[in-house]
Amino acid sequence: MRNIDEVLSILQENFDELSDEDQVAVLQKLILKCSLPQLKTLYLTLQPLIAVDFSHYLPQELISKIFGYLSAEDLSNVACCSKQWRDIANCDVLWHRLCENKGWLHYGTDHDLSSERPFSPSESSSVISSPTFVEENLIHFPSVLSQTCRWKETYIRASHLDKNWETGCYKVAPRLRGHKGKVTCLDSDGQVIVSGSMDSTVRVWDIFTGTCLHILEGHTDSVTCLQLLGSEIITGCADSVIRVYNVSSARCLKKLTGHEEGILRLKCQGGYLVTSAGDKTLRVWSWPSGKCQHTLRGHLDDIETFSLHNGLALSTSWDATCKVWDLAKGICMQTLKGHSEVVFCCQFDMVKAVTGGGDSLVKIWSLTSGTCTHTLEGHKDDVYCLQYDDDVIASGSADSSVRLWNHSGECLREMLEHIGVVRCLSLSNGRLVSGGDRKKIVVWDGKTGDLLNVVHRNPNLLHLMWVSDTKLITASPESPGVITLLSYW
Amino acid sequence: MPNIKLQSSDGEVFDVDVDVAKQSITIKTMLEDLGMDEDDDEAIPLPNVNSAILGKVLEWCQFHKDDPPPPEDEENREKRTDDLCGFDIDFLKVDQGTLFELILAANYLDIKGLLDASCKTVANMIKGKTPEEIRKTFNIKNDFTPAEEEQVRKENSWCEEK
Repeated sequence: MRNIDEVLSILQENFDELSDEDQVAVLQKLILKCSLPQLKTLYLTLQPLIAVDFSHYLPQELISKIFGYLSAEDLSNVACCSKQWRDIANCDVLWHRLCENKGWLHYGTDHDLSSERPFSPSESSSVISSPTFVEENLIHFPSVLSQTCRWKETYIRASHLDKNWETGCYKVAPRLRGHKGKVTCLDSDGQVIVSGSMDSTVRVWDIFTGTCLHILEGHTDSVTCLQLLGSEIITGCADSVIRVYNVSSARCLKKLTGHEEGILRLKCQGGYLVTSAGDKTLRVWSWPSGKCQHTLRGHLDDIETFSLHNGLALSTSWDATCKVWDLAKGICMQTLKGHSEVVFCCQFDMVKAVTGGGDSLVKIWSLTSGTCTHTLEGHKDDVYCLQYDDDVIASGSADSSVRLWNHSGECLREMLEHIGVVRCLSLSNGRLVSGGDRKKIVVWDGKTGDLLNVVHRNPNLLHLMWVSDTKLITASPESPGVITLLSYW
Repeated sequence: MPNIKLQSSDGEVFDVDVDVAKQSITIKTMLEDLGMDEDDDEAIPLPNVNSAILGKVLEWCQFHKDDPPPPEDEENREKRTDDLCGFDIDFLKVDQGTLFELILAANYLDIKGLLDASCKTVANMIKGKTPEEIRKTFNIKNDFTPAEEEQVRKENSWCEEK
């Protein structure tokens, strides 16, 4: 008996002497002699040998094309394989597209999360769980490894933020106290919060620390509405005067008079300031000059709210109608008749309007014909708030439900989580946040209506809410009024 | 049907139906630019494709000759890889060397349908795998130092947190 080493060496010698073709013939013969288990072993041995690291083989543009079919998770796994694979997978073109699919491009441009000031309220308060992002995980210069590409960083930060909303990871500031009366209105630009109150003052707060920066004096009655516009704040007051303040100096720059009763709401957009008042009129002022251009008369009862779009206003009223106004000409272009009770909320664009009313109905209107095209039935009580995007219409009601509808008027989802009246909702970047009485704020997937997270906040009632990508601000109708500030970043 | 002749890099000549060959934008352009006559006897040289691969490519083109023209890529859409037809799935069950040569050939010959299908097949070999599984699948040498590997693991740990 010869031992295995001798056999191997004889085989090898003979094999080496053969021509290429003969070698192949010998191998084929040998394989046919193998048993099934032997073939399996052979197969496993061969597999890695004929596997091809294609990063050395294909041009980069083709590898990028292959990687373009991968999800962000797969692409991250690819980046862990080797230096070359990481360099190809960490590519801005690929990650830009992944950000775009998620609707996160603005996080790479005008809302760069890496430059957002840290949220550090003056006194530490109950931190539920830290939403803080670990910057050290990203690879920056100096490092032997190439640094994480910009759009991958953007994706990872945005994904972290998204997860914070979904899992309820946020920091909460101590309540913003100071107003001596009920808070009636609030606005923010992501840097400061401004709030108006029945105590006849407006307060300016730092959104990152929660401290009060200024108190704006001069109002002789309740502040009823306000808007923050660059370095200025426009306020409306029950004393029927509209005032303009500078944010940083807290000085009153201008007073606009003309309304015969208390101001109820104001909105400024595209060179127009529009105000509504207890005198059942709207006034159009040119902005920033503050000259009154038109007084819009026509509603037979109090004006509930209005919104602006591209030189037009849509007002809703207790006379159960809505009116579309041309702000340049100062004329009523359409009167939308169909609701049987007060219309509480509205949003519109160049082709259509969506309204919700005290008759429990949501209605979609064609603005070219002025007729109601769809009546959305389902809510069992007053519809207080609504908002739509390209995909869905969201509505909140006194029946404690939130509903999602498509633009053909079909109800996609009835969402039951609130136990009190749903007063406010915000729909942006596919995230829907609804605020209601009985201590609940609910975060939903804005496309599917899936419940993501419930935020329990005191006090019991809630009537004002402002939501951005990273912050959630609410106020309740109690007196003295306090403001609650949450940060998800 | 008029035929044309295609010559592979190793000299083999393929006699092909013009409509089958014209799925390659490269060949279609050549025919138009060079004004090559369809009953011309001269073979079009394809110096970047060997006969084994060219044979496969033409087999694919033959099967897909009646397909409607492929739609333009929608840039900002999530791209699917689960929409390969049964023929393509079986056709692309080949060893990796052949698969990557097909990708190169489809790219050179500008045959969008075949390029998409073959790239999707590779993407499907990556999807859902851990880094170690991907390395094994493609015989990738892990050239990170332990410290670098830890750094890279952290960089990509965002998706584990779910």
